[in-house]
Amino acid sequence: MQKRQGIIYVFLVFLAVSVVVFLFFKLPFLKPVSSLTQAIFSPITSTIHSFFSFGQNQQVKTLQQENMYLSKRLVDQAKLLADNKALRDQFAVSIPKSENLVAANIVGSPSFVPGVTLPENYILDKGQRDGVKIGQAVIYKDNLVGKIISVSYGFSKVELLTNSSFSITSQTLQTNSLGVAKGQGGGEIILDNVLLSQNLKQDDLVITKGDVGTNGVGFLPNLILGKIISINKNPSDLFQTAKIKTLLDFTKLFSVFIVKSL
Amino acid sequence: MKFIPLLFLIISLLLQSSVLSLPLVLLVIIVITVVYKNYFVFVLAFIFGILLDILSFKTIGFSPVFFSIIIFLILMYERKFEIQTNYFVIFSSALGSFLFIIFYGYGNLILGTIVSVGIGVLMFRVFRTGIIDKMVE
Repeated sequence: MQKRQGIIYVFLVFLAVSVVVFLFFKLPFLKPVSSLTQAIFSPITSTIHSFFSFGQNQQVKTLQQENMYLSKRLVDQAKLLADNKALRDQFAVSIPKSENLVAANIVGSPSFVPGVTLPENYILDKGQRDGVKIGQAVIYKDNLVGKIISVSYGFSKVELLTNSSFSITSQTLQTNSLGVAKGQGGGEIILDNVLLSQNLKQDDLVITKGDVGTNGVGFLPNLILGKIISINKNPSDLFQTAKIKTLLDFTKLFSVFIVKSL
Repeated sequence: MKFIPLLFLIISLLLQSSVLSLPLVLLVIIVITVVYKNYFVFVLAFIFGILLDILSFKTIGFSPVFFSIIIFLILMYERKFEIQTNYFVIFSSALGSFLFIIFYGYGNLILGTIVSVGIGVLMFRVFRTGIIDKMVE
């Protein structure tokens, strides 16, 4: 009975301390403690992450990079064609300029089985001290990677576009069909809320529509989300949907770029 | 030999915060509780829970609360059940992992729980062997 009481007292003490920590860690003067801890462990977690990201066949890597470059050229060409048709002197085409980009290394990407299942979040080695804010877009070669959801002094957390919590307004490149791209987890994305009257084409690229807030933080238009691999159109449904495959391999990325406010 | 649990905790913390979405720290905590049945496990759970939350960018304080509750339940049932058995470790690992994966928002709930149970039982057998060696000494 005495031992039982002892267990209860010890448990209540640690529970109370944990709750106090939970409440007081939100205070700004305690944030340097978490930032220091992250800085101490960062080299080790980064090394472990690099170790588990297995080496890739050089030829496959070259082909993937060429694929991404050609997709970018395709988007640029489509924009140029649109420029010739409309009056552009009153509008600016928003492209991420290099001075608005912060290069960041991926120091952590928890996944179920490294190299087999896909990660849904990244930990980056850039934080508040580098001007990173919650809501900023993360890209890689004009491909959208995700958005910043959490920031500490020296690190930040990215929610990938395949994460089930991620969604963004988007449109298709060839047919300009509007929809909402939603992460499904497990590396899958769907294009949802597309009207039945709109046309979807297989292998068409899906790009961001643009969603920048008044503080300049958000998603620029014309960032590549992926390619349509299958279409689900049922006349009895309100909307049609499509499965999107991202052009990026999230298990092989080592660095990304954060789009700072414009 | 008592450094081995600490080493396991450090390794599981680094793996869970960088590459794996499995509740490794929780599994080590459960195994240490079952094998050593010592109040010091509350201290370890608190420290490594805080570190896990910081490195995983989760709400700091959530993991220590969760770990404390699991340890408390295990120690409370120590008198009613024989806890140093594979069956109890399977049950506690399954329950703890299942709830942790849900609260943490990791994917692969069923498969992750099954794998976690396997890891938990494996660690339990490793730690039990350590105790037997100490008794032999």
